[in-house]
Amino acid sequence: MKSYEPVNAGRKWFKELVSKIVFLVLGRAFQSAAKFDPLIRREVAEWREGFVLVMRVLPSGPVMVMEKSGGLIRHKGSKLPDSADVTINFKNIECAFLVLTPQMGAAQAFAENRLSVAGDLMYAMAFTRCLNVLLTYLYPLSFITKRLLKRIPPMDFLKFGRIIYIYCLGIPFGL
Amino acid sequence: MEETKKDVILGTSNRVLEVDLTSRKYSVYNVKEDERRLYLGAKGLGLKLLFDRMQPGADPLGSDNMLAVMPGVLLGTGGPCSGRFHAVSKSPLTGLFSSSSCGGPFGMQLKTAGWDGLILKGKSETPVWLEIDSDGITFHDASELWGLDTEETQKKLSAKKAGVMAIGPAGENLVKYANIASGHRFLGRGGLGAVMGSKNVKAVVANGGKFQIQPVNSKKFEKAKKRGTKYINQNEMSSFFLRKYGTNANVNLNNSAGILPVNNFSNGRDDRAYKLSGEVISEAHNTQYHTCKPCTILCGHKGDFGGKKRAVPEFETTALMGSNIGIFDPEIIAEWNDICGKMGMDTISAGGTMAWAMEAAEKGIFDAGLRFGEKAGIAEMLHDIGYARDKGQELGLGSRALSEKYGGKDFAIHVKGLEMAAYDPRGSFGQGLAYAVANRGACHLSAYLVALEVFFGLLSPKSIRAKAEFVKFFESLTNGINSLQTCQFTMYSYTLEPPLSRFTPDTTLGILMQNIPQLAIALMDFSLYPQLWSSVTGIKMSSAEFLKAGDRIQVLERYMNTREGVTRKDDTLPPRMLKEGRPCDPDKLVVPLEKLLDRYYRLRGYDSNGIPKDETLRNFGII
Repeated sequence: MKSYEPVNAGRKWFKELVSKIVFLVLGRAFQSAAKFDPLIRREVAEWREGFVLVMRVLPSGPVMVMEKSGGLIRHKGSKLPDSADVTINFKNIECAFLVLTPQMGAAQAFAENRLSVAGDLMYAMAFTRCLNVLLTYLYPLSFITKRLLKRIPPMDFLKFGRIIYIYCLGIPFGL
Repeated sequence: MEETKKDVILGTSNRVLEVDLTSRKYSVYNVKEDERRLYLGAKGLGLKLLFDRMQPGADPLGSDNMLAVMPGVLLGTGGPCSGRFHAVSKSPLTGLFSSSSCGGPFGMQLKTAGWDGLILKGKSETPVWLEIDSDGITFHDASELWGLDTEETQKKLSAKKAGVMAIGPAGENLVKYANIASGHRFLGRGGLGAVMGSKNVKAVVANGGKFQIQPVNSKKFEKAKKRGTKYINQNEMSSFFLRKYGTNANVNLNNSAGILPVNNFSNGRDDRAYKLSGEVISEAHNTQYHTCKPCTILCGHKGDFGGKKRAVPEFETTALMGSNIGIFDPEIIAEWNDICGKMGMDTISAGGTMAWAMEAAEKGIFDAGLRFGEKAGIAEMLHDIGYARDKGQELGLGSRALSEKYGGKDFAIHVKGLEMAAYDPRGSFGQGLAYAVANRGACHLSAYLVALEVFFGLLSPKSIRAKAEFVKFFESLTNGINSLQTCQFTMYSYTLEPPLSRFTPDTTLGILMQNIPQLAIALMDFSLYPQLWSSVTGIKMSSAEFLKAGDRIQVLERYMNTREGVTRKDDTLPPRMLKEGRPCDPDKLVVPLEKLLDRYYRLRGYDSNGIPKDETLRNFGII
């Protein structure tokens, strides 16, 4: 059994750029959907004021920070905070790219040890449930979502309107 | 938010921790390279280590029995579906060597604590729980834990990064089919929990995470890993049926083929079986993933049952504690499954034994108060079995012991003492042969012929052609898989998705398998398994060598069992399978076992009495 010095991996700028963009889209969409989707609203209501959730790519990749303030969940950009209630770590950029592009669901990534959670698992599970709802807004086409989720909720007029809202106002302006 | 720096184990540590519970001392055994090459790891190596250390005739519940817990070389590397470890010991239920596989967290923690195996021998005078870390082992008093169920025990012992392996009341009370829990998974069959209980060991906790496992040939490993993941995601069985519906995807397949056990295997089909199917359970109980880790298939699920989150029972449990006792309510089966989990006992043997008791009551031989189709009394009986109370104490002996005591051997559905899994061999002759010759008893995982005969329709299920060849082949392949170790469900994808199998039409494949099995086997590409093994260990291994290692493990286990008295007379099926036709089968077929046995023995290199010949043993380097 030898002890090795860690080797620093080369940067994969394209995958990092894609991950950064998806984190931005995800954060903005989450902020927006949390205002009108009943399931996400219910989950977020359980979180304490000042609750901080971080999603990051290890070892030093892109970061997404969400914080609950004023009763709402807000996307706080990509600056790593000193502490977080829940941190969801992607093992490396390859794993993050698979999940964020979306070639693999979060549940499968977790089962394959591509994701790890630091902090209270209860919050992590709540976030996963929100994420599942969010994915149905972001990827309305069933051939994409069926790879990510076990069950796909049916499309109706109200949901279609929300998708339009998220894409036209939520993601570009954070509304 | 910094990651701790870990030491690296290149390949595998080859260090096995041997613990003498009597003297409370331990030593370290270093696995030699030729042992590793010949027996691969996990199941194979565990058997070899016990073969070298145990004398024939040891009492399974005595201090001279040993329990080997072995992670394979793949665990900790992040290989697809590699979150599994193996245990080997002499079974109190069968009196023979038995092994079991588990997807719980203990294996990963043991491996990343720097150990390639753990052997428990001797017997502690007082109840203990053991704590393992990279430096060795500490003994703790377990008197406060004694009596707790598996869930409570694990809760009390689970630190942040610990992997626990624990027994419940059934193990403490030496129930013959007690199992060992690790997380929400179990070393299920053969009564290994009773072995641990007989040694007064309540639990073993491994504190891992000190080491990172790195394959010797990382590039080759990554390539194999990618190919494996691709095959799994490509294969309909692994990426759709198992992932979406879990193992209960088998219910409808088995029911339509007439091989689902109904009322103690007296029939093979029931119109109500759809209620137990994965398709129905998945929708009705809002199932979520609940898997081993790491896993790529995701066959494990949990769901909402009566307002509680419970594990979705696996197919074997659903059938043996469902249709086989005349129950078609998934909610109550999930509850019984939970009770068995907490008590720490095997659901297949518990279900099989209760089915025997129900039929015995009908025939007026023995009355435990259980009746086919009636839920009343079953939950209480499961508790009674676990705590060895009243009639439960008798049911804890298993169906063989009960039928020998009270009569009713004709409907005691076991082989060598191990209750039969949920596939009726009268509709799948190859599976019948596999049950009869499986070393640990009526085990469906020794050679899963039912997949070829029923699920894929590549072999005719009610013919004897090519069955012996494929049983031999799958036994060896399965031994290899269990010695890597990876999940057996990868077999669907790793053997059927490589280009040659994938692009050959099923009809052609079927004709080839049925008529020229040797050629079909020779053309089968399972090279991913040896590739994964050799890329981790750095030892070259061809597909042929890998298969030969599987053969060697099979013959070694057989040889160990023949030293315990196993001969041809034990390679049989329950009389019901050999004499009674079923209402669902217009031809009233039974399994023509004798014809299959002769051919199988010849292929294996056994004599006509089922004993491995000296030349066979020498050929494999066993003697």
